[in-house]
Amino acid sequence: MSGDIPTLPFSNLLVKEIPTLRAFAISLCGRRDFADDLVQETLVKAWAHSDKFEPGSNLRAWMFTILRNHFYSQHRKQAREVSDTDGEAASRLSQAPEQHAALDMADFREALAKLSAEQREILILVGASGLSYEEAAEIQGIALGTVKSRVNRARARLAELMGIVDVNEIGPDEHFRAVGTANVQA
Amino acid sequence: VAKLNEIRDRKEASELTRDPALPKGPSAQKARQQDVIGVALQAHFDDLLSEPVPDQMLSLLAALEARERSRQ
Repeated sequence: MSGDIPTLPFSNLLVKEIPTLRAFAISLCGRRDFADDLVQETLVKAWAHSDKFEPGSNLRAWMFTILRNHFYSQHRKQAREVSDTDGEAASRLSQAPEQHAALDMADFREALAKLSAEQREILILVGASGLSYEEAAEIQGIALGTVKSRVNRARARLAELMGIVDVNEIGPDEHFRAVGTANVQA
Repeated sequence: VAKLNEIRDRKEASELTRDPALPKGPSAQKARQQDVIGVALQAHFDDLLSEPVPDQMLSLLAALEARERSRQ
């Protein structure tokens, strides 16, 4: 089965990016089967346009761009849809915040699934994938300031779905800034 | 020995109640909850990253290579 293993240098670069690309795809569209199709289509496109990739530039950002552009071109409508209904959100919001102080990952994934694809995308790009705000701005084709405001909105929505109060709604005060510094050092 | 155990118990008790990483107060609590989102996002992504690469993706790249070779 040696024919089943890619050997060319560019393939090897792509192979190294598959786990990250796949994690991004699953987070973006929320469905594994669909995400794997998306990754395969991205690999085909990356291969076909390998001459457009500048060696030494960020392959991950380049592949993320291909993947998300393909996703939105195919699923423009559902990308903006939020699967949550007002009733569901209300029932979660009625729970006491204390219940969520120790966050359960199942609760977190449930809330994440209720965000729009665009909200999940921005949170994953800047919060987990290892890309910078600048790279996220480039991938999404938007201004840096827009990335920041979208991150804040998505975080606030996620916090709301999980029944926790987001600090962005409280506004910075001296106490919070001090705590923030302590957390960075910890 | 009893005295040593007593000292150890007291030390453990004081370590349990003292936690400098967890400041008190409502806004401090909210800041921790905010940070929980960041930690959870990373944990969610890392879980996905640890999954094995599906064989079909490697086969796909191998097939793309083979097609490239047959063209040359």
